[in-house]
Amino acid sequence: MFSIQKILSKDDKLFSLLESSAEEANKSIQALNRVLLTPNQLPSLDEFHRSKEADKQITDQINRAVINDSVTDIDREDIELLSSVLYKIPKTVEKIAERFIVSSVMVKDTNFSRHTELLQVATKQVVEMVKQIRKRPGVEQIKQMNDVLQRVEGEADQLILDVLAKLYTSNEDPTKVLALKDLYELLEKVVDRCRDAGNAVTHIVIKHA
Amino acid sequence: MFSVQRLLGRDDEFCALLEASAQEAVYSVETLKQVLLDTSSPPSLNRFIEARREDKIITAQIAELLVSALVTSFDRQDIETVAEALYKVPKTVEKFAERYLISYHLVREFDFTRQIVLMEEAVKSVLEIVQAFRANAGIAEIKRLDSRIQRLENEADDVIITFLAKIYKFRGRDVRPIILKDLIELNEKVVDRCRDASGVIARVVAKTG
Repeated sequence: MFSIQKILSKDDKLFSLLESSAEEANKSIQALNRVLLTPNQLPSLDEFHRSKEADKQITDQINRAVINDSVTDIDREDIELLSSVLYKIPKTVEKIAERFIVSSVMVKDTNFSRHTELLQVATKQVVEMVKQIRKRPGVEQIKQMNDVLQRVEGEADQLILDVLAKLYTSNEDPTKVLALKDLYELLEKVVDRCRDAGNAVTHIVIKHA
Repeated sequence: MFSVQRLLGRDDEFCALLEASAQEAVYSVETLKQVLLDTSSPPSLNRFIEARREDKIITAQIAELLVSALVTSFDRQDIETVAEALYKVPKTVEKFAERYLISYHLVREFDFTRQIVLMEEAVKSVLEIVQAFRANAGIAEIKRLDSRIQRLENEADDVIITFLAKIYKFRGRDVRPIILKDLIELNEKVVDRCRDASGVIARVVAKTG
């Protein structure tokens, strides 16, 4: 039976799935920050793997929902883009954790506090922005929220330049340089994915304003 | 004149070209396998360039057909994405061969067997899914084949981390970790492109039932 309630409940299901995906991304970032801030406790990958797998399942559910039972006025491509970007956050975070573990002997003394601060702000903002979709916010409101992510992404760009400049003049073993460069680039990628998610939400809101 | 036969004929033309492109991908990985197994002489790039050129011609034919075909039962964008992902396989394999060639004297003793096996399985699986798509094998079969490629992509992630753990043990002024990391990342990219092509096919089939 076709009814307004049915439409609304399907929309609600889709928004809840997107919010869960953003929450999983946030959870994985919290776990990563704990690892980076306490490098002497060698982490287990289980938590990261669980987060990524949970997000993968949510992404599959979103993809099925937009094909099979979504009646939302938001374009399928826009939802797919957002869910794909959200999934890439825990996926990249898991990659960082794996590489941190295999290179921990070399990198554990590195100070990642500026990275963890940026990641914290970026993922919280993504969660807040995704939650806004169901409330149909105004363009100005969402743009202001997105500006925070743009600023954080700019800071992350500057940060990678700073840390690489330091690394290139450090006279460290090439292997350590390689391992750290890899970690720095992946950390920047996570912030980029948060920026992409913010842009995807903003695009949806502007389209439906 | 529009007719169902014509529509189906056009669809099959696209599928035939995609299949030819997947065949080129398989061929390029086979060539790479022969090169990596024969460490007695430096590899020649000719066969890789040839495979990539062939695939470029096929990709151009797909693009031309997309312009001239007025009606297809797939979204143009989906066909373009699959064609692009398939073309990137021989392109990435050629890039690997180029870099292997310039660093051959430093890395030829390194064992790339696991990477080769994964790439081989991935390109063969992608060919299989393209063939199944052409034969209208149905959603269940397509899903099964797509899951296999997704699994291979996860395995490729595991392989890269095992490999990194190995090269991070190099100490001193050794440039090999940089070269090897570059090479294995290109291997991983080949599997990623296969996963991309397969993912789009699975989505098209889910969409069109």
